[in-house]
Amino acid sequence: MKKNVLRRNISALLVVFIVMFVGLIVYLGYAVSTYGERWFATVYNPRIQNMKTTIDVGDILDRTGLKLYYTDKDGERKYVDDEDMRVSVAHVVGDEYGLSYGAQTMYAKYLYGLDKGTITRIEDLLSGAERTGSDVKLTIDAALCQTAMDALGGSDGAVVVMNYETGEILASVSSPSFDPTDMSLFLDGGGDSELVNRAFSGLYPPGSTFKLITAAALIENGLEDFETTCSGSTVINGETIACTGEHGDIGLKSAIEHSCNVYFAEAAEALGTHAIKAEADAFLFNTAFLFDDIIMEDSVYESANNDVDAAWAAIGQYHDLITPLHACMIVACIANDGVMMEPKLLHRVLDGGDETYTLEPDVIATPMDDTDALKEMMISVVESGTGTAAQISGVTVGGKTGTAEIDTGDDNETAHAWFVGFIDDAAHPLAIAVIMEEAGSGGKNAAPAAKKVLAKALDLGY
Amino acid sequence: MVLERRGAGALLTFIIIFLISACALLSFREGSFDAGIAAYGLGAALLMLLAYNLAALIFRHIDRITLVICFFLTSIGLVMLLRLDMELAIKQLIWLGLGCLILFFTVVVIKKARDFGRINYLLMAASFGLLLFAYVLGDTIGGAKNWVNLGPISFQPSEIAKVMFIIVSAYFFAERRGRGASVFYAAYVGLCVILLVLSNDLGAALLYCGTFLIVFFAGTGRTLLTVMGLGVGAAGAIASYYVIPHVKTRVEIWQNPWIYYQTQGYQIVQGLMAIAAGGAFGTGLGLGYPEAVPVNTSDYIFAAICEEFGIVFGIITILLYLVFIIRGMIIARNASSRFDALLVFGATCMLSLQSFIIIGGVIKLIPLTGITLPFISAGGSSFIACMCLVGIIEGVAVKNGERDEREINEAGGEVV
Repeated sequence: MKKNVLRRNISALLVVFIVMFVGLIVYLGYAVSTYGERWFATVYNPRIQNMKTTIDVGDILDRTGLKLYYTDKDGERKYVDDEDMRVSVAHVVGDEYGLSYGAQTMYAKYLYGLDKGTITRIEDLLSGAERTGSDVKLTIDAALCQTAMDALGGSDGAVVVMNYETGEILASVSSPSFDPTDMSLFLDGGGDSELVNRAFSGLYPPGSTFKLITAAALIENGLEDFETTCSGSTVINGETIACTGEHGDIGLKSAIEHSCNVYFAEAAEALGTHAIKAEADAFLFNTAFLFDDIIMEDSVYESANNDVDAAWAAIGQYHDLITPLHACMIVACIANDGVMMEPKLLHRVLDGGDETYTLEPDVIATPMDDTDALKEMMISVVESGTGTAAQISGVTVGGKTGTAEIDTGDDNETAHAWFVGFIDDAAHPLAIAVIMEEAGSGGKNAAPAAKKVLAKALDLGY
Repeated sequence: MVLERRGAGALLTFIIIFLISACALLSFREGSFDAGIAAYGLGAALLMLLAYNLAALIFRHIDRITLVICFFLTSIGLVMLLRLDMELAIKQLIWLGLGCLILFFTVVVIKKARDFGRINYLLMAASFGLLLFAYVLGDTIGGAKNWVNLGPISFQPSEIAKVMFIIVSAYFFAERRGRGASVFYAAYVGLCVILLVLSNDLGAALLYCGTFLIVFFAGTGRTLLTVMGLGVGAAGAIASYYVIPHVKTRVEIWQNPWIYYQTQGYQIVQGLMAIAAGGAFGTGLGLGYPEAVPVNTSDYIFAAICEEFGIVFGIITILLYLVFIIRGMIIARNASSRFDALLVFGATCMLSLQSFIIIGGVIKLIPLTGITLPFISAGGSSFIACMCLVGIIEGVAVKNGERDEREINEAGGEVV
């Protein structure tokens, strides 16, 4: 074989190698910029534990400036004194052992001063100055969190309150919780699911709250005038789907108001499973949530293979799963005229007197252009439908109840109580999601809890 | 030529500044000045300066850029080792000294040799014997049975065999061989790879396979057969996924190392944390915590570099390998004989592939297979093998240079 063929082959392989190495560079840059903070801020990272001994770690404050975890005058690390409050914010603040995934782990970069440039740090090292971390101010209001925890009334579950215009999380609680001042049980490997932040990581069947997505799909596909007759149940492919009542001739608005299963099961047939899947995806189901401030689980909406499953999926059963935070993001999006804001938990970073980070709202999705019709339906749910227990005098509340049936395995069908809602007032842009595990009806149990939390939020001036 | 010389000189100056300043920084690490560490930096800088000038003096046509880049990569390794493990760093400096001698020796040998002729069969036997030796008598370190202990000396036979493998492969593809020889050579490659897989040294197996395929393609130009070879390789990889439990776990860990954190994913996760901890410009030398990463002086040294020097520096390191590859390929293209071209090409490909496999594994672009990072990782066998390969490249570069000079002189003679 001739030598110039060899030369040509050498050149060809050189190109292959160049592509491979450029690939390495691009991937390295991409991976670190996309996942870097996640890789770093894990409970496994020994750097975070090690730095505690050599660094003056920053404080964690709530949005009002209340110190939730701080260094006192004697240099000791302390949590907020009030036990109820401490337990309410425990998941958000985290523990010092990194067993739970709170601000102590997630914002370690700021708390330990790692966000400061190399040069500053080398200067610090040479000048012998103690390395200091920055204070971190969260978007939550600890008093509101305490009310939210109260409102759960001892039930397992979660509450999330967001400002729907900015995405700020004003309250996020998860029950059962833990007391970060006494972690001995968990350090020995004990405990149940107390350390899990159900608000961000708990995946629940959305139940009837999912009907908002099905309704959105109807509106977006020009089927808002779809009507049917509810006789208390419907049979799809031989399987009976029962309803909450006999609703007679029924249209979309009334179906949302009374949470009519028959209507949505039949609407699902008219829409086709593909249209609902597309709408769910537009509201960020099946999306990897990669937020700067928050680590949350991804919600699931699977396309069903047959009409029965599609009908169940359309009313939020089948394999649908959602986190309370995502449920709150969805109602927030509806309340915010179809603009979904990124959930934010980090309000400010303060290095001495300097503000080194300031929250800036980010839009993450715009699934709908016009949500007025949906808002109206949700308002009528609270005015005269299943969610009347969430009424607050002086403001207009919109909402949707959910009673998500779950199979506990021993033939005892029980249900999670859901309420998702918002206040229709630009002066009080609040959205809420409440889930109470195995508490039964959403309208009877979750709606009053939501009312209590929203009323407190209004009291606090949000 | 002049430009190259200036560029290489400037780069060498930069390396010396880098070495001395990094060591000066490290010498203050414990609070008080440690003269030993400062002396180490000075020593390493002087050694490189000496080796560079000596090489340029003895072999006027040596490719200076290639030499300086391999010194640059080595000095990154020395600094990182000095920071992580003083004892290893001192050993590595000794290996650098020895490596330079071996490099010179290899250059001389390659310059003299035409195609090694019958010695190739000896080399085949020797390399196969080394691998067999490791398989039968080897000690298992880090999951792979690839170390041999002979009294005071312990070494990795697969590293030494690498160099022979390159020479043998270049010889076989240099001209059309008879059927018998081809079958013989194919059996040799196959058996080498099987031995490596049996020793659980998957990184080396992958490296041998990949290098063989690349040299095969370049040497024969048979695209179809190469693609088929790739297919067989892929099929083998898929089969090994199902047959070898070790491979299956590797792939699963690669897909999601976090859920295997407590067990086999530990290393990858610690590596990723280290890389992330550095950010763009690193924590600063001595200010990070790469101690947390397992095998941080060997396979995982890239993660330690990224942590303390930053991603930007990590990218520069990758670019250095890339420039090294480009230089190697240029030298291969200029070679007078097919044997020389394939020799340089094989050596360059082996080093490039090795860097790609381990960097890609550490940054989780591809499943991790343990192998050293050329020039940077601690380890005598690996370093000496790298220097031998550089010697091969430089030997041919010197040959090329002398040929070019001769041609110019002859042309000049005619004119006069």
